[in-house]
Amino acid sequence: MKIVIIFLILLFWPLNLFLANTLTDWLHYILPAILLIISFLLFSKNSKSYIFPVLLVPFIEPKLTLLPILISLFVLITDKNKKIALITFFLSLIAFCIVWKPFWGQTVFKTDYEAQQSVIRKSQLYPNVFMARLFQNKARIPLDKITYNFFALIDPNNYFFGFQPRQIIVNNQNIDKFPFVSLIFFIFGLYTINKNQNKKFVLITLFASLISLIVLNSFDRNDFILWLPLSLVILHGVNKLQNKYLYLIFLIFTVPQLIRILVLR
Amino acid sequence: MKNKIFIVFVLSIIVFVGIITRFYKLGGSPSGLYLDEAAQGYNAYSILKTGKDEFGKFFPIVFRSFTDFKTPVYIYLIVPLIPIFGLTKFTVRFPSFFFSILTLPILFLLIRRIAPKKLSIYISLLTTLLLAISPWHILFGRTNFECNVALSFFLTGIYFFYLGLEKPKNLIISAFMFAVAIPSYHSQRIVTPLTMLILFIENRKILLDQIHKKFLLIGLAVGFIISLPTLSVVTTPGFLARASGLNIFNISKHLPAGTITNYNGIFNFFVNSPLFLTTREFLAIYLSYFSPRNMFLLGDSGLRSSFPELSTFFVWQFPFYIYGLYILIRDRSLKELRFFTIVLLLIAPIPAAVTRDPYSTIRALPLVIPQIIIISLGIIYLFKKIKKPSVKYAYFLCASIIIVYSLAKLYSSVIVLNEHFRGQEWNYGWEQVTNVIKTFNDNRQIVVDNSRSEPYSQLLFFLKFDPSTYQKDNFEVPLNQYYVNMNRNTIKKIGNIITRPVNWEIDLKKVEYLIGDELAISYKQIREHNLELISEIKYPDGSIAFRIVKTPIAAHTPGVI
Repeated sequence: MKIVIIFLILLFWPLNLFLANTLTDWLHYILPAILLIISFLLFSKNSKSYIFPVLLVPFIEPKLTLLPILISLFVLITDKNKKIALITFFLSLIAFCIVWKPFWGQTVFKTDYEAQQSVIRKSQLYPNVFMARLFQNKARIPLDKITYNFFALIDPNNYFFGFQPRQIIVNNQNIDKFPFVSLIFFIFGLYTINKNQNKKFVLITLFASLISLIVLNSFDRNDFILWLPLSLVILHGVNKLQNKYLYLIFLIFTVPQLIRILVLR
Repeated sequence: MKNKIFIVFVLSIIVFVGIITRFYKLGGSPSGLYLDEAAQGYNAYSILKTGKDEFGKFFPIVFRSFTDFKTPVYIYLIVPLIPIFGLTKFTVRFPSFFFSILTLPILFLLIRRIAPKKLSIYISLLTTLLLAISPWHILFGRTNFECNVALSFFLTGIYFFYLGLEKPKNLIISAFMFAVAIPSYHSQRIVTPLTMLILFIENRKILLDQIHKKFLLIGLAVGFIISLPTLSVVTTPGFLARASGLNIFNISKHLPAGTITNYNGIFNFFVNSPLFLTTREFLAIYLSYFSPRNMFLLGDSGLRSSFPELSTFFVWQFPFYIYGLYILIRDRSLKELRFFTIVLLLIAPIPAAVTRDPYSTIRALPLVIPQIIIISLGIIYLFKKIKKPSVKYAYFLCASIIIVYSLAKLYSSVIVLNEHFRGQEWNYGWEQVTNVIKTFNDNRQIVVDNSRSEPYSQLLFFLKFDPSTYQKDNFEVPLNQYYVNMNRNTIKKIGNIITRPVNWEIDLKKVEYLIGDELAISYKQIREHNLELISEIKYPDGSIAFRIVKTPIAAHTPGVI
């Protein structure tokens, strides 16, 4: 039963993404995650060069250019053997220099004329210039977008319920990323993360992916790079919470959810 | 002694901050008066003058109003205020303000009692301070919302319950407070009994000893007597109106979210399973109350239950919330504080999660208490980790600057932006409309368009219309069907004013005044029908709220005036 559960957990997001997109688009969004999987396989075989595959990510998806930089930076900070991390860090910086233009155009730092006009209009409502500048200034435009992305990316509802059943999010496919009952495994997996043998890989890729995504104007579908670290947390929870009743509840609710996905698309 | 004086001094400052944030422009901001506020105010006025509500019902147990059957406590609290302050926006919002201030010292006393001694002073003061500046609590403390009054009674009940464990007489006061909290707001019908049950189970050994048992029984009797009026209508459609209308489990009224209506295939049993869909929806909504995205960024999607550019908590509180959660789970030495926080954290969103709206801050207001306790825990435990005095001073200085910034942010959102952008949501303009109506001295009929709103309560409120005349001139259902008959009569007669949709064919046949929004009376219609534009009322953002026009004599059918 456990294998079926693991299979269902891993299947949901890629399947839903496949059904909601064309094959070319799907491949485009799934390739960075495949590189992360290769990296993970190398990591689990204790290979020192496990971050090398991630260096290819910027050339597949320039929006994720920050990912290899951040991963190698985190590895540089946490690893005892700094040599390989240093090499990958410099290589990722070179990759960044090559693709920085298309990357920059997709970030929150690109000038937003409409948002600037809104700030100017609002600033005229305040009784004095100091308050107007304090609460309505152009510097907060990218900051607000980063905050918005950050909270959307750490929202459990995003991953387990497609935000809200009655909520329509603009610029987001709102797909079910994991079966909602797997939230129980996720919480337990997170709570016992110290006992996770892949803790280092999970945390590094999770934080690097989050930071790479929060600076984007729209992270929808590119957030698939979170599939691997999040799945690893959930699977750890499944391994730790071995309860046949819970597994049964999981199946009772997940099978209809899977059928719904197939019917809906 | 010195310590006590210091605590009282700090608490006074915190309460003062609470008063400032809630009292500043109370009644004036929001400058509109929402229809529910007006209905509550006018029903209180009607009770004061005649002993009956707008429908002529003698001291109702729940108020029929727009057949939403409003809870009674808030309305009865307004009644004695009208002779003092008059029938004004300030008056209808005053109970909310008063009880939100009262909540501050009650919360302080409660946390002080249940927190471990080594922490009690700091955490009780900090929690009270954070509640004093909480956007969530301030919103409902500045406007007419029953949930704030209910929360105050509920917390007082809990405080006296804990006191009662030592001095059993207090159990009677506790029961009284709980009994008042239940009819004060809809969600308390679930939160209060569940909390009482859990508190009883946890403390059953103490409560069932000889001394406590006696006072517990007296308390239960007191609670039962107070609840008798509510119990007498508990099964009526009126009492259940809100619960059945919004309940996600009531699939006979609304299809569960996610129902695929055009699918009738072989998997229909799975695809449209009500068990699956409602469970999923309940869990999604329940989880949304713990989502940092809702708590620190988006807030309530309702435009009257949120402030522009401000969520239910300040963004800077997020890291402390996460750390506080960690502490709450790990630190068992917090004992009763930990138990109380977890219980309320889990119970408070339940009534809100069974309704369809995601993150409804009105229905989940009690949740503000455990979440603020968690933030306070995060702040205090982080402070405790600092060893160097210089860093401690820096931490304290930063905290002070953040508090000042938060107060300025409140001013920006509550007073500046809310006033400008949310005029329409707060039904701005009816006060100005009635001021114009008062200048009419030709006694002609005034038709107020009600196609998109229910303006009669605001008209009654601002005109201070005689309640007995209104009761005589209007009929909705026989009084013996007050709680059971859900039929409505939307056409209301207020002296020479009638509220109904504008009907050009009829209304152009006589000289009368027409009042409506931009859709009801457009410039094109004014030109086409030669209407005389008497007045135009604008929202604070400059857009048109209402137009008041007079029909022309030339348009009359001969002989009809």
